[in-house]
Amino acid sequence: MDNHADSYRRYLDGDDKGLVEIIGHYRYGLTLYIGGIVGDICLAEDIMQEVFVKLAVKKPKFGGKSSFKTWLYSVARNCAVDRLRQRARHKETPLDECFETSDETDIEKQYIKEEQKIELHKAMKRLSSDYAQVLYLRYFEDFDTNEIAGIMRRSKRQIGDLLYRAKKSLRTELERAGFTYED
Amino acid sequence: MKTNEQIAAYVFAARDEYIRKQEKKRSVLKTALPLTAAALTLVSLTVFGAIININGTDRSFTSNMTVQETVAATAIPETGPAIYLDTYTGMQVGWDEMPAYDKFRSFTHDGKEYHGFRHEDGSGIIPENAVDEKLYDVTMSTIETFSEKEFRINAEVFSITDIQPDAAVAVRFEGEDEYCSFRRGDYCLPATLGELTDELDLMDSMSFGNIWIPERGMGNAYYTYDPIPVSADHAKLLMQLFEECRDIKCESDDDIMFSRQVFSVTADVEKAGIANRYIGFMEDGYMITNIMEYAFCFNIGTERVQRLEEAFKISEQTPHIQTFPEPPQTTAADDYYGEETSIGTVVMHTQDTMISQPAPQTIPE
Repeated sequence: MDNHADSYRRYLDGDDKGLVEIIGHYRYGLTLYIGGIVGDICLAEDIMQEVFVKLAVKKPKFGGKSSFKTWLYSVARNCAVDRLRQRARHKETPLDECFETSDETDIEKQYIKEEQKIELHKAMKRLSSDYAQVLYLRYFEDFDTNEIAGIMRRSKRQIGDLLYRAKKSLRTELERAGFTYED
Repeated sequence: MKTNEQIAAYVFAARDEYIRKQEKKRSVLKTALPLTAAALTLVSLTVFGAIININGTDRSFTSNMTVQETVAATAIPETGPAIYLDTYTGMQVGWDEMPAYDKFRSFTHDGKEYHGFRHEDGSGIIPENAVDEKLYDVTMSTIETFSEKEFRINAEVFSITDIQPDAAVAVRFEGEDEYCSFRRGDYCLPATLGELTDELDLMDSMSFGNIWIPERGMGNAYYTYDPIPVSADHAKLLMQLFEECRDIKCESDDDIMFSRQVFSVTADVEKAGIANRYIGFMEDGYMITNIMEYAFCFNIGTERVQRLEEAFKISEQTPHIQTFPEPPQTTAADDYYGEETSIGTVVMHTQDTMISQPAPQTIPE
């Protein structure tokens, strides 16, 4: 059962708690995913909040063609890509303070939790944005290939190949970090 | 780190501020403008649809009225910076500025699915002199994610000289001059290496970049290699291999457990808009390529791989060596399988199975 589609419907019907539930459930995962696109955790948190503001203000229709989670991650990706384009077009006034923003390690500890997976996530940050995204969506958020294709707007086959190359690159990164490779 | 409550408070403050501003605008319109000014405002609305009479014939269009409205800027007092919201359409900001190749990335014709490979970095453009005859017209559609609004565009589809349309085509979007590479996206393994070679005219069109030797870690040392530019002699050997292995069956990588990669080569097929693809040669005799985006595997045999390895002098290349103080000790349990690397006393695998497996409960001595 897609519970958060239900939470969203409740929000649209006037129950703010519905959106609070969605924030609580998705904030960390979205932040880490967006961080993989923009390469900056501070900016990623900003964009994560912007995603929820858009849901709160614009109340976009969720048609149910995909899971709520897939739809939400698509919106997040669009916001991230959009912000990157804006930054390329306009010189942004930097924030005077980045108050109460988190160290990425805190988010990793809170959300990913397992030490092994945290080490993997750190290695993934050294990969290209596409590789980091596809690995994160597949192995940290358990999206299947179809869903990842919908989020990243590629074909299923391209995602398959991207995963293959991303894993190869990840192996190289792990070895570069000084881990032995046993045949 | 912000709490969930703080984020929720920020989000609802933004919503409430937006609602306040919208209500303020509505009340200004209602009370401050006299009737004539209101009439003038109505006239100034841009209407992209109307019922009109032309030469006595009524024509109706789908009304798509837009209102000129400034982008709402919502300042969030006290707790955060100002943010800028979407416009009236509620669509992704910058959607109108996105190029067609970015919005419309696939189409189906005659049961065959094609996907676009034109990217912002300039890759995926078909040179005009490689475009052959027009095949058909196509209308592509896409859905803008945020508003779920559908958009359509017309395009012409052309063949590429000496390349099978079943493999790749050139697409020109309405109103544009450029030809974009679109390739077959649904699962379509060629029967043999020869079929792939003929489909993409590889004998005449494939060019190579560099030979890459994979980085290795051994004991407390780590080896990396500079890429070797593919020479004319190297290229000749590679093309001879493709010719020699025409009848070798193409396999999918779904069920293959690959051995160590000996070396790889990058390849381009410029006229199909294919750039920087990979051809890998494995120790167990497989040649793998993603020249059509999916992994195509050909069991060319260990002898052929070794022959190329010797010809390219792979083992004679001088590595750059980095050493580490002491080798980590592996503490993998006996029943773990597959490839593994270790970080201190923690074992990690570099296959799919790794991440879905639970961490070992005990570390064997």
